[in-house]
Order: sequence, then C-alpha cells, then structure tokens
Amino acid sequence: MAGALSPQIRILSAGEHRLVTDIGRVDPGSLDSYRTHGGYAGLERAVTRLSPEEVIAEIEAAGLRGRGGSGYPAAEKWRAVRGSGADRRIVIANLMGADPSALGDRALAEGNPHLIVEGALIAAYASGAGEAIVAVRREWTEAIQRLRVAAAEATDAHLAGYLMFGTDTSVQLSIWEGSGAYVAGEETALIAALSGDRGMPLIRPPYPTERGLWTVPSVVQNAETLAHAAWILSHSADAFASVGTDASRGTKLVTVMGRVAEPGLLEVPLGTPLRELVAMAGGPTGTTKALFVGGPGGGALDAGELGTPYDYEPLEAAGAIIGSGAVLVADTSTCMVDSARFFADFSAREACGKAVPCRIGTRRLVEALDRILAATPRPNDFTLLRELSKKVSDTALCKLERLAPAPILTTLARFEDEYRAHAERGECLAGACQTPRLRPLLEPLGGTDAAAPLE
Amino acid sequence: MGFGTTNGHATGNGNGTGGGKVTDYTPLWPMVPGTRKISVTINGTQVEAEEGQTILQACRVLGIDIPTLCYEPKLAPYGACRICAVEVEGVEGTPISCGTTITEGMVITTHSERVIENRRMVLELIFSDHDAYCLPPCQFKCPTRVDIPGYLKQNTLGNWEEATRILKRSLPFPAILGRVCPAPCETHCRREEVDTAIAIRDSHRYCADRVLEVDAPAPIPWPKDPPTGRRVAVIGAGPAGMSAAYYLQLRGHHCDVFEAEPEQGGMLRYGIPQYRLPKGWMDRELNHVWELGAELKPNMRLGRDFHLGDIIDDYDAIYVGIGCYKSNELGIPGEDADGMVNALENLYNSTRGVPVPRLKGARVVVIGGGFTAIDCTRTSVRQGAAEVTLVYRRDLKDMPAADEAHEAIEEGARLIFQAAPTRIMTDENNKVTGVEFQRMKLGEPDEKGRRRPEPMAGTEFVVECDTVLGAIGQGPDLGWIESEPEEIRAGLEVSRRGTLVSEEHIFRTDVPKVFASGDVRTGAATVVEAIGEGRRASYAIDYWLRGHDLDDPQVRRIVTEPQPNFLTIVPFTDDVKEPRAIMGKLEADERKTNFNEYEFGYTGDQAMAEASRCLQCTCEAIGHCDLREAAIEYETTLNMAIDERSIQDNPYVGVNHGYGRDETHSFILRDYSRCIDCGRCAQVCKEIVGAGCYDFIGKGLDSLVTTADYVSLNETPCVSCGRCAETCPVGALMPRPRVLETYQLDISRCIFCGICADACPYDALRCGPEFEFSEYQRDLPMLDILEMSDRERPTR
Repeated sequence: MAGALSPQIRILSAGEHRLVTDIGRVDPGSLDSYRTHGGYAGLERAVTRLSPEEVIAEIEAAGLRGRGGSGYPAAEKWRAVRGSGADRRIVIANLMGADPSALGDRALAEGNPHLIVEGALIAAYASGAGEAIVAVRREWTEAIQRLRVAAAEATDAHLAGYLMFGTDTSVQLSIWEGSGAYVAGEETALIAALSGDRGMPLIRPPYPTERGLWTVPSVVQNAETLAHAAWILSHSADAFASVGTDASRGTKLVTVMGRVAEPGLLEVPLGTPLRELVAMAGGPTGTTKALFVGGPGGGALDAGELGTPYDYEPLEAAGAIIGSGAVLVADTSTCMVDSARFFADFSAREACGKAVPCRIGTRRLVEALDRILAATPRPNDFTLLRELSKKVSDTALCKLERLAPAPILTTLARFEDEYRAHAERGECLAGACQTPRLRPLLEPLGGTDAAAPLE
Repeated sequence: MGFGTTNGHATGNGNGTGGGKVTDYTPLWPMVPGTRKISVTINGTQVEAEEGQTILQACRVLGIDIPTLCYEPKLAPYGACRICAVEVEGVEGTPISCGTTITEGMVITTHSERVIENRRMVLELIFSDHDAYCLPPCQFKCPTRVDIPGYLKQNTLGNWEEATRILKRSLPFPAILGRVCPAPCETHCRREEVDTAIAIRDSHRYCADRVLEVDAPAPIPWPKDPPTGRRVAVIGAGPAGMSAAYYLQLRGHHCDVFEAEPEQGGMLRYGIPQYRLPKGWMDRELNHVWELGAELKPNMRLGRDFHLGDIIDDYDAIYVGIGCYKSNELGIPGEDADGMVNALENLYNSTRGVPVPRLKGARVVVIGGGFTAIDCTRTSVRQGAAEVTLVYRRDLKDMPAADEAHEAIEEGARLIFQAAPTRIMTDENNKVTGVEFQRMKLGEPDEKGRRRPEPMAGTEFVVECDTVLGAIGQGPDLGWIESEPEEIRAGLEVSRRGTLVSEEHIFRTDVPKVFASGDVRTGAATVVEAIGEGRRASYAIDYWLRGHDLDDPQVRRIVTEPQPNFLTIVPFTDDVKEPRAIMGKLEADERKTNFNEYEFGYTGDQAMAEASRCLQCTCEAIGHCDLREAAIEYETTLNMAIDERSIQDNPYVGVNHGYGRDETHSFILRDYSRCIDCGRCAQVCKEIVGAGCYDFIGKGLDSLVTTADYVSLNETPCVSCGRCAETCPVGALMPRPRVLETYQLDISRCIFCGICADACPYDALRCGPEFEFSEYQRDLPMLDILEMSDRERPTR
C-alpha cells in the first residue's frame, strides 16, 4: 500500500486509539482520502465559525498539555502569542524527533501528515500567526515527502495559504528540513537552526512566545500536540477530556521497547499505570527489573514502582519524565550501570557544546561510569557522580542538559549495589558485562591517570 | 603602572566582594536620568536598580564582583559559560545573571555556597580540558616569579638592557643571583624533555653583567612613582631588606635601611665567599637601591644601637629583614671543646679578608650539607687547610648544595655521605682530636620527598681532626625582642622553630606598622627566596601605606600573587637538539689557592644561543586572562592564598584535547588549546563585524569554536579587524606581535565614507565634528591626520 510506514514503526492494537485511528486507513498522499475520513472539519469549523479566542478557549477546556515532554498548556502559549499583538507571528511544528527511539511523531507524519498540517493551521489561526513552519528531521525522508505533498495539496485546495476557506485568514505553510540532532528538538535550538545558525539552545527567558524565530513571537509546538488540537476541534473538548487524569487529559503516544513481547507504538490515556503499558506491549519477556521512562533524559523506576501512573507529575515525583514518550523495559539480565552509561553517553555525544557543564561535565560523568565499569574507580567517583550530576542540572542552559544526569542519579539511587559490585569487585550483578570490559580501552590512556600531569 | 603585569584587572573596587555578608552597597556611577528605579534585595541588602537592567549590570554598578567568561557587553547575553549564575528566590536552579532581567522585589544572592560551588565546578571542568600554561614551570618554581621566557626572548636579540629591565620587575639583583642562585627554575625546565635544561641563571648573569659594565643609570622596571611622603625603616641590608627597599623606593616611599655591619649586603657580603660573589661587583648592583634614593644607616644593630620602640614613631612602616645569624648547635657531647669553630663566624672573617690562622695547615671537619657547609669547606681549602672533610647525613642528591659538591672534590676536599656525628673526641686539654660518626640509612621520605636518615647501630667510625666547623643550619637571633618596650614585645611572636612570626603573604606582625619577611620569618633559606619575600613584603607595605585594608580579599588577591598551576603538559617532541652552553671556568688547581671568581660567564654569542633554546612555554594573555582571574578567585587550582591545590586535585581530570596553533594569519594568532568555547569571537565576528569567520564545530566534548573546516583565517572572509582577539577572554585569539608601521592618509583621495572610522576596533580613527566639516576643505591638498587628532574635541 502507498501509505506504508517505515518498517520500525509498529502500532499496537491495545490502548485508546485517537490519533492513530486513521493511520493505515487514510492514504497519506491524498487529501481526498483524509477529508473522507473527516479531515479538515476541525480547521474549517475553527476558521469559519469560531473566533481565535474561542478556539483557544476550547483547547483550554480540553486541557491539552504539550506532548513534547514539558506538559505546558498549549492554550497558554497560543494566548501569549495572540496577546502580543505583534505584526508578525509564527507557528512552528516540531518534528525534529530529539530522541531517535521515540516513534510517535514519525508515525503521524508518515501515516497521516494532514493531521499535523491541520493542527499547525489551527494553532496559527488561534494565535494570529501568518506563517506555519513544519520543521522535520532530515533523516525522515518519507515523512518529509508526504508532508510536502500534504502542504501542497492543502494550499492548492485553499485550506492553507491565502484566504483559507474563503475567509480573510491567511497562513503561509512551509515544510523545513533540518539536520537531526538530539538538541535540535529543544525549542530554542530549533529556532536558532531555523534562523540559519547552528542549532544550539538560547537563553530562556525570553521565551519563544515573547521573542522567537527572527525575534517575533512564536508558538513552538510538538507535532503530536498539534494533532491533538486538530482532533479536539473536529470532535470536542469533552470527548478529548473523557480520558486521562484530572491534571492531564487525553491520550499520549508511547513507544514501549526493550524486554517486552511486542515492542511498538501505543496510544494510551494519560495516567495509565506503567504495569498496564508493559502488559499492552505483550507483557515482559523476563523478570522486569527496571523501566527507563522518558528517553535519554529520563529516569529509571524499579519493579516496585510499576504502579506509577504514566502522567507528568507522578513520573516527575518518581524521578522520571514523560520526555520523548519512550519507555524502555529492562529485565534482570540488564546491567543498570551499563544502561546508565548508555544514556549518559548519548547525552554527552549529542551535547551541542555551548554550555560548559554540559559539554565537559556530561563527558566526565561518562568517564566516571567507565571507570566504575572497568573496576578501576577513583576514590571519590561516587561523590563525583552525585555532586557533578546535581551541579550540571543546577547550571543547565537547556532542559536536555538539566535532565541529562537523570539516568545516572535514578539508577544510583535504586541500584547502588550494582554500582558497588562493579566498582569494588569487578562483578556485574546482572551478569551482562564482561568486566572489566573497559580496561583495554583505558589502558592506552594510562589507566585511571589518563591525564596525570607531568611534575 | 602597578607591579608588573600579573595583576591584570583584579584591581576592582573595594566595596563589596560578595562573600554573602551584609554590606552597604553604593553605586559606582549614577543612574541614567529618567530611568525608573526598582527596588531589589541583593545579598541581604535593599538596593535600587534601573528598570531593564540585568542582574549582572545592576551588580556591576554596585561593585559586586560576578565573574563572567562568555559575556560580551556589546551583544545579547549568550549563556555558554554558566559562571555568572546567581541564586534568585523562587527561581529553579541557578539562573545566569547576564541573561536575567531584574524585576521589582527580586531577592538575589550572588555568592552563596551553592553558587560558588557551581562556579568552581565550571572552572574545574574547563581546566580539565585546557591543555595550556599560565606560567611556564620555570617561572612558577622561581620564588621571585621572574618572567623567564620574557627576558630570554630579549637575550636572543642581544637586547641586554631590556632583558635586565624585565628581570628587575620582580628580581632587582640579577647579576648577584646569576652567581649565587641554586636555580630551582632549571630543574623544572621543559627543554629537559628535548636535551638539557636552559641555563637560566647563567643567562641572566650575562645580561645583567653587561648592564653593570656600562657607566649609565641602571634600567628600572617602571618609571618611579611620585614621592608619597611616607617613610619606611628597613632593618637589614641583606637580600630581603634590599629588595624590599628597592620596590618601596620605586613606589615612591622613602626608605632608611638600617644595617648592623658597616657595609651593605648581609649574608651576601658576610656569608658568601668572594670566589662565588665578588664584592665589588655585588656593590655595583646593590647600589641601584641607593640610586633610587634610599639611605643606608650602617653600624646600627637592632637591640644594640637602637630598638624598634625608638624609631616606630618616626616611620610610617617598619620592615624587619634581619636574616639568620645564629648557628644551630650540634647537640652532641664535647661541643665546648677547643677547636670547635662557629661556621658563620669563620665565613664572616674570611669574607672580610681577615686571615684565619687557625685553619692554616689544619685538619678540618665540616658537618652539614647546606651552602654554609660547602662554603666553609671550600674556604678552608683556600685558607690552606691540610685536609678538609665534609660529612653530611643524607645522600648527595638530597644535599642542598649538591651542585658545588663536585667542585669541592676537585679542589681536594673529601666528602662523606650518610653519616651523623655522635660526639666530639677530645684530649686531656679539651682539644679536639676527632669526631665520631655513625652511619645512617635512608628511611621513609618526608613531606619534601627527602628520605629521612635513620642511625644504624654499631657503625661508628672516627674522623681525626683538630678543627670542627658545625654548619647544620642557622636561626634568627631574636634576643633584641627582650629589650623592646612592652607593647611591641607583646606583638612579636617567636615560633617553635625560633623564627619571627608574621602573617603569610602579607607579612604583617601583630605590632601595627611592623612587617617581617625573609630568613627571619622562614628560617635559613636561599638568597632567591629572601629576595622574593622582600619584594612581596614591599607590595603588602605599599598597599597598606596607600590606605588599603590588607584583609580585603581584593587586596589580598593582588599582594599574595597567587599563581594557578596548570601543568598538563604535552610532551615536547621536536627533535632539534642543541647543547646547552657551558660557562668557562678556572681549573681546580688555579682556583683553590685564592678567592678570585673562577667562572668566566658567557660570551655574547653564547648568551644569545642559549636564550634561543628557550621553548617560550608561556601564555601571552597571562596578564589579562579572565579565566585565570576567576581561577584565582575561586581557588580552583594551586593558590597560595589559601592552601596548595593543584591540577591533581581537580576531580574532573579526564580525556582532553591538545589542539595545534595557527600562525598563518598576519595579524591574528590562534591557539585552540587555550580556547574555552565561550563563543564570543563567533558572536562578535558575526553580529558586529559581519564576517562570520568563526562558529562551533563538532559535537559533545569535541566541539570547538573555530573556522569552517578548521581552515586558516586567510581563507575566511576575515577583515583583520582584530575584534575577535579583543573580545577573547583567554589567550586563544591574540593580536600577533608585529613591527609597527606608520600609516599615511592621503586626504586628497579620501571620499569621507567613514568606513575606516567605523571599522577601527580601537577608536584610533573617529568621526569627530571636524571630520564632517573637512569635506568643505577638499581644496587643501594634504591634511595631516595627526594634526587633526591633536585638536581639542568634545568626547562622546
């Protein structure tokens, strides 16, 4: 079929299907197919029958929070940009896919690109923006292709561009492809990249809603959030709020990976306990030991915390985050130190290099983990892990930096025995690492005294 | 001009250095008229700030010192270095002060424990990937911190006077030290990794000698400051006192130098033998102090001819640098025997040219391994002793005067190591007949790394002799304290080691006005240490006389001259080998019968060749490096002000980069290893100049601010304006040293576009009112730009 998804994306049947319902049913290359399934009804209703304020009120009534990880209410962003009264305002749909393992945005872009376009246009109408930019990670060639077709079709059909639906509303729609990088998903880094600079975060405040792309007020919204907005306008705020928790309504796309029978993409109501997420993904394949919730900046929860609801605040209280919407299930044969190193190394390699604590600090954290894994720790390595992690978060320039030490801190808090066994006895309690596996790597550098000064 | 260049811009204002204590902050400059005032709380004090200011700007107005690295006032805040972070009540984490606008009622803490720890973390992280020097190891190891690469560079050009002037910035007597210094610098020279260390001492001996030869006023480090009307009494005309007087005199304070002996020099004159330091030559150099206006008051011994109590009201400050003149006792039986000679007295007599008949034909045993011992040994040889034996309890390599040991052996002395005296053998008339020694074995190393000698029972042996010179160290003679008036006596404390106690680094005693340093404070040490102590005491005295509070951290930061030590060295691999130049000297047979100086010194060619071997391992930006200043303030590396911390204590040491150096551009020198990736050059080049030569490259730890694909600046749109070098907070981008040229302006061809004035980064050309008017005077053929610049014009 023409609208097939990339092979790594598998949508699981369990859960509450809203955004993913039409994936596979609609032809992503055809506007007509999308409209047959009720597409652009929400946009039409908004543009022709509602005032921007009413659209914002409806989104607010639905309780839509940003699905990019922070959970900031979408209506507030839109209202801030609307209230700025600036001559020029921009809406940016963020499909930079910071965490390569999370599949939600990509599935939407490939399976139902018009949904994202529709959401972006609604956001532009509500916030008074004359431009909507869909920023896509360059590696997602299929998604870019389909979004381009969707944008062209929508513009040709007067659903976007000048005088949408015959009204005096105009929104210029464009698709922008940018180099994929972890940090490029950060909203200010995306703005820097869009304006032609290297994608590195800027100081916040000023927030993009005050001073965004080309210094004009901008709404930067995750693609999934925009899709939800389109869904709300075509269904209703009440329908959206019918599932979820009091604080966080609606559904969320979750990627469940690791030691489960059927890893894949789920759409579940917010507040679903983690245990159910694992069950929906076919159940664990081994004895579940821990869950890494939130991607590279997420935290580890242990088996005793499987009852935690998948929701912003409860996860944050437990040390994890919604983050990229990725949940990695680890069983008893997974080494927690090695897993923490994997995530920390990802953050260190993907650091943009701007802030000192991130550029050097995250690398030093990985080096400390390497020494522990190699059973050649320095005397104060455990203190270093805890203190430096705290300080890196404390002085962070962007949210990704603030979260980068989380996998270390959470695993260290829950699985210190594994760290101690590695450091003191060179033994992996999970039986996964052939310790001291890193010793050969460290030896060319002179063992632990890699940079010992000449005296 | 201050003292040398190392102070940088540490001379901030005096009011408010943070520390969290409640202070009355007063704005350093008035508010811009018409701006709205808002009230905020900074460090517990209610203050007023202008609306729209950032926290950093408000704090700078109030004189609160927040460090910055990536902050460039001309540009929007960038937020890369994270060092200017502060704590704001109700805000998560530590927001950066350069990017946070101040709002009504904000409660800000600029120096809380958490903020300081975070700043320290940032600095230590930077240092863990900062493969660069501040000071070269030689300069760091010299107690005077003399600019060794600097004067060697002048030596290569044969510019002896300028070399001497550089030396005298921190070491007033280079010719004297060129003869008597044990040269701690040379043992740390990086040239050692290539072939042999640079002859640093012999090199400055040469250039200083050339300057002493000419009959002209000696070069002075900086123009003498106008007289302040303050008077300082310097007690002791030895190395410490004379260097203190030299720098105090240069700073405009009048010095009276009290000396117990009839002539100047102290131990230089009365301790060091003529063959090592010819006294006439020494006087020529010491006289530079009197040329600056100081006065010698000879034959004035403290405690005998005067007391501190007598002069304390006549002077604004008193500096005590009386040295160590009391020999330590051996502490073994038979020390009162006939034939025991005081080592210092022996040297005192022989340096004055008084013959010591007792030594003629004598069989002498010298006990000790220091400079006094070796001087006694070699003097005894020259006095005609029949047999001289030096006995030292440690090994040769642990001997302080090891350099001279082989020369003493050449001259006929016998050296015995690892033996300590147990008793003096005497006959029935209490005359010395020999000394009994016991063999020592070397035990565990002590804190200096020297192995502690331990006696071995049953290994006693006897060296027969008739004269014994005990030279096992000296202490200061502090008997004069007893005769001081009560209020002074109470403030002078004697340490357990018998030295006079004065505060480290600022050399203040508990008696107001009285400072002390040199051997009297440290115990017997080398000449170069005494000179370093004397100079640093002069800084403290100068600041105190100028009304600064020596407890103020800003002042302390300057007077203590803390030196961060970043010695992560990339091994030097250049294999061009040039041997070290060796000075000529007399053979042992020729020198052992007289007291003539036996080393000839370099020839000019030798001195130039030797200096050109120097690898110049120094940072050009040392005087104006923001990173270094912050490192000193936050004690992230070795810092003498608090306790000794070194790079080894940096917990974050790990993988680091050794980048190269780009010298291809004619005006801008780039050294990536010093780059801290603050991004200022990239911002300035893009936003102000418009060329956009630099940006970040790479990801993670490997990211670096440089040109696209690391090409030479010549391949970029660089306009050679130098703004990148101007904004660089460290030494990564520097204006390349070059011969200055004179530019000429042909005004008849000028179209008054103003681009030159716009582009000039240093405001050498400016658009004044005349510049506009001059358009109407184009008939004038040539207008001299210099003439234009001389005219009075309102400053903007």
